Amino acid sequence: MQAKQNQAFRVEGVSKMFGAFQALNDVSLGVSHGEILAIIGPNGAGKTTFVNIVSGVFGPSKGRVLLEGSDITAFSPQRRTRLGLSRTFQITSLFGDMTVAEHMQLAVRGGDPHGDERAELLEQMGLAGSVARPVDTLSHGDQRILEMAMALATKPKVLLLDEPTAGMSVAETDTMIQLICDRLRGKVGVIVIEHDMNVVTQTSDRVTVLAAGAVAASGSPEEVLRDPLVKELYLGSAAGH
Amino acid sequence: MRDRAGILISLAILLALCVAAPVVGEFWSGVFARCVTWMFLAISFTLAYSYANIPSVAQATVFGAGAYAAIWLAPTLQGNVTLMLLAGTVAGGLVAAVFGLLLLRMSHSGAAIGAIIFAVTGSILGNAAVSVTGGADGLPLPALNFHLLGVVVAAGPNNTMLVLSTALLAILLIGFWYVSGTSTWRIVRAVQQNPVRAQVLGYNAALFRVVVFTVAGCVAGLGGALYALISRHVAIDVVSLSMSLKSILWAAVGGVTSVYGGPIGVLLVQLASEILARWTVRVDLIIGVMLVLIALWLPQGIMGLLKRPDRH
Repeated sequence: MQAKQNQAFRVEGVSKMFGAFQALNDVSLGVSHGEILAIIGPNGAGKTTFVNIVSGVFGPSKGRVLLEGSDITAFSPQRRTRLGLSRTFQITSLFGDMTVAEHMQLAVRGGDPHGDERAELLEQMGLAGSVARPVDTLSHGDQRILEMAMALATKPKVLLLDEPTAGMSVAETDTMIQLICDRLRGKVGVIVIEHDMNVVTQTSDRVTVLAAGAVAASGSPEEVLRDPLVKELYLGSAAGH
Repeated sequence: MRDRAGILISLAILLALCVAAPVVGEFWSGVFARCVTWMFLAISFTLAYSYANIPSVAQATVFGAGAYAAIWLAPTLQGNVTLMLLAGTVAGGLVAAVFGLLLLRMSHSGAAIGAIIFAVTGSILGNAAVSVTGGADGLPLPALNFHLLGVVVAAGPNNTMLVLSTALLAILLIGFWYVSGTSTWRIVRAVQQNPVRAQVLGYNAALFRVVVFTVAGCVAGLGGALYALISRHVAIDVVSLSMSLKSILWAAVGGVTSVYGGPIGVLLVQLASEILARWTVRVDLIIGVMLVLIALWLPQGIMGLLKRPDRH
């Protein structure tokens, strides 16, 4: 109980109904400061609904969302960000006609007036040479890295990464894995929604499996990957026998 | 992102109007002066549509609110033009704030329909309240000694009012040019392009949209107050849906993605209409063909010609 109270982020008994369809059913999970939690699950498992409830796009039908013990269930997305809950998007979501520098200026919201922190962050993320470039001229991988740089510039306590390697090449994926491990592990609580099991095993401390809107399994990456139910969900019924 | 070419072209056009007016005579001075008031309306539509992301076809209703406020309050304000213009601006802003708060609760397409309902309702109510609005016959500007900062000015379609209108529009455009280079305007652009993304960065997207829409209303209201002073008369057709549609036409011809496009669109369409009316009765048909051609070959309007095709 003490461990749960100290978690950076927690959802408790979250359910979501869309008409008669139950997208999430009594989901409870949490992430501690500096920990990386991966959430996996087949299509239709409720991952997108979970992301939208966590980030405040819509509210749950039942249950609570807690950030450092405070109930933020009714808070707007912008208020959640200001309190330290940031996110990236599954589909790259940038402002097409703005430069990398303008994106970072937006992300710091008037903080960092001299741009030192922004410059350092872009240097660490490998984007220092692209500061003046419009984002629509960046490669897909660099756009995803910029999204993460923007999320970090908001100084999050908890970061939600929605399929951070979606659409990336093998080399770009390796770079992203490296960034997650170097820049995030031990620093902020991270929830990664991911399909790529290679990314999950290399980055996460714990894994939670969602299936049909409910938590089907939870544990270390090794434990979860050995779970017959998970094998069945990912590899089909033959794998479970 | 300040558009230097846009502001220079706009200011050059306004200057050209003021220089040409004494040469071309009283009739054209009046046409120019009315055109300048409609430029406020066209800019208002562009701000609402392109920056508040609200497809408002009720901007003429807001323009009319400014015009009627100026006429209603003229006797109380004893012909003080500054206060009349302020009254029109505030009236436009208030009406837009109410519309904006309601329209933001709707989806994008729902807001378009909602705005049509507002425009039609405004027109119907205006026609019904004849004692207040004058209905189709309209209300005349009271015969008063109008004065601006202690100087007596003659209301009507004359050079003085043209210079006053263009000066105010120039100040507005220069103000916009300045604001468009600030960090606040960067947030407006971000909200306009991707409100959900802007929210996740910590910005209140709905608040920014309402504020921009209200500012657009203030611009339309100021234009309406100037219109009342120049026309010396306001009738309910000013708040009609067809007037709103005209504002969309002007903005589309000039370029709906640029605030500087509206004035160009007004000038092109209205001057073409005035000139063509001397030769043919099929003015609307010709203007319609012109709009189709622009939609086909210049989808971003005249201002689209200034945009570089490749930034890579």
